[in-house]
Amino acid sequence: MNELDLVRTLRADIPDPAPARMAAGRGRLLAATAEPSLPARRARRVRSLAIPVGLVTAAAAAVAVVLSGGTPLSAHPGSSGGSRPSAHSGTSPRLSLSAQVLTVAADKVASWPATRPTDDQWVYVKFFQTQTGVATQSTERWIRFDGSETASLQDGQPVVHHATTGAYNTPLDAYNALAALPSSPAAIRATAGRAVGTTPQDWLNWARGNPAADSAPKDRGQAEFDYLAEMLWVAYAGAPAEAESDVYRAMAGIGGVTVDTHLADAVGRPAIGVSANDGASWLLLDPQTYQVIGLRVKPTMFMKSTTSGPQPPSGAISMAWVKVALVNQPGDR
Amino acid sequence: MTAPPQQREEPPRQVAHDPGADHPFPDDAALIESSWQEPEAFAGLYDRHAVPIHRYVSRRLGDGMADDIVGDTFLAAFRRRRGYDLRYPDARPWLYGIAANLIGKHRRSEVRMLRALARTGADPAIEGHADRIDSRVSAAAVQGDLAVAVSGLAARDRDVLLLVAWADLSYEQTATALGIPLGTVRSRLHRARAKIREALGDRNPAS
Repeated sequence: MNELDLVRTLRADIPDPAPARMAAGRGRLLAATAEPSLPARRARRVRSLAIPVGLVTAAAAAVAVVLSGGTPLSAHPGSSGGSRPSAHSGTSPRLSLSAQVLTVAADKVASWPATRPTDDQWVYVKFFQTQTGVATQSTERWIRFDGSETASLQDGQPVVHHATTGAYNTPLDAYNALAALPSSPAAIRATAGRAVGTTPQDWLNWARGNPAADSAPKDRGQAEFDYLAEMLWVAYAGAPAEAESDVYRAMAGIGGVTVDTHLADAVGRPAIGVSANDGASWLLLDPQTYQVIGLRVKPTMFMKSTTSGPQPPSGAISMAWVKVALVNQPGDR
Repeated sequence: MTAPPQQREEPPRQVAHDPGADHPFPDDAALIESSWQEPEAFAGLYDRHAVPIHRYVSRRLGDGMADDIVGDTFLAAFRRRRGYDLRYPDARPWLYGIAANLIGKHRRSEVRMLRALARTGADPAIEGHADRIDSRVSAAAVQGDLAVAVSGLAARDRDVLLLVAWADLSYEQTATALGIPLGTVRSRLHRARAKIREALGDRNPAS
């Protein structure tokens, strides 16, 4: 044994530090990274619609409550099952995997070159929803990017409908909402925080999708996450790539966010799930593109009927954008 | 999954797993570069290297000081990240170099602990881990003469020796960490080994 080998035996028994000790140092570092010394804001780029996802516009109206647990839509048996535990190692700090996943997602999304759909561009969307104990719902529709017209199939033929004024949450609205966000994660969270409020009652009011809601995000972080997840969910037809990337980075800074890299969406596609409420609801991302492809929720709010009628089902709901595509006219896919 | 009308070539799938395993950034340089625009990404460097650096600092200065020094190391690295030379894919020399500077401010404590080990047979550096190390095993493993020898080295020779022996850096990496020529690393290491050999004399188990 030479001298170097001898020195290697000195204090060789000292073990690795416990994960809890490392988490504290990591927290200090993250706090430093959040301090305002940001690079110049990059010009926003636009993401083109390359991912095969889809959703019916009307379902977007239910997203706000469904994400926090709300009135489930009628569906067909096709249980999405419960979510698996997070796949990250039990010895790793809880945020490390989620922060890495969301950082990867942010980088990936930001790298896509894109062109913004024109206001009159038709968007084809195919939506799929399952719920335990309920019939599966599958719909396909067409909508102009500005929401001025929609189309649906009747007797196999697309029929165009002119939207009434004040159409809810058009693709253009969703796009503009993301584009209006600031770029720094802290500022994005502050924007979300102002929207969801500061008290549990505020969060309940925000999450409430119907007068009978009886559950809400448990803390402001969950509320902020739900707000941001909804923004991504409703921007199925197109979103500014950098804004979407910035949202992922904002999510990465929310405490308690977990990921599960082994989930599947409502149509069985592999998905990465991101949750801020320990898996009660999951925002599902495509494992390759990191675009939002689905939602999985375990309803905690359901309508309290004042009649003696049956209560809505409360099984887990899984929704998927099966396909979203820019097309020339209704009927094209 | 149905192909959309606007198809683009898909890069290989990237999925983030445990920080210790497959990593979305191919190397430290890519991660650091990413942090230039997205500061939060720098935490990934902590996830990769903080544990071994903590252990290295613990071996040098004891468990009580390791948390702060490791934390200060990564904070300093974060503040200097824009100056990182991206030609170096492995950031360990850079990080250990910062840690070595911080350790150097506690030179007297390090020497004092090594001499205490030699004098009493009890190692102050592992007192914080007493519940995780069999005291009988550690007592048997204590090499007082070796501790005295290491404590007697010039600080800059000890830095080179321990970066090679405890941090497992190569000679080139040690040179990078300390900002000295490779030849200087070799000469300091040679001198350190000679002094240890001389100090142990007939007590050298290898002789």
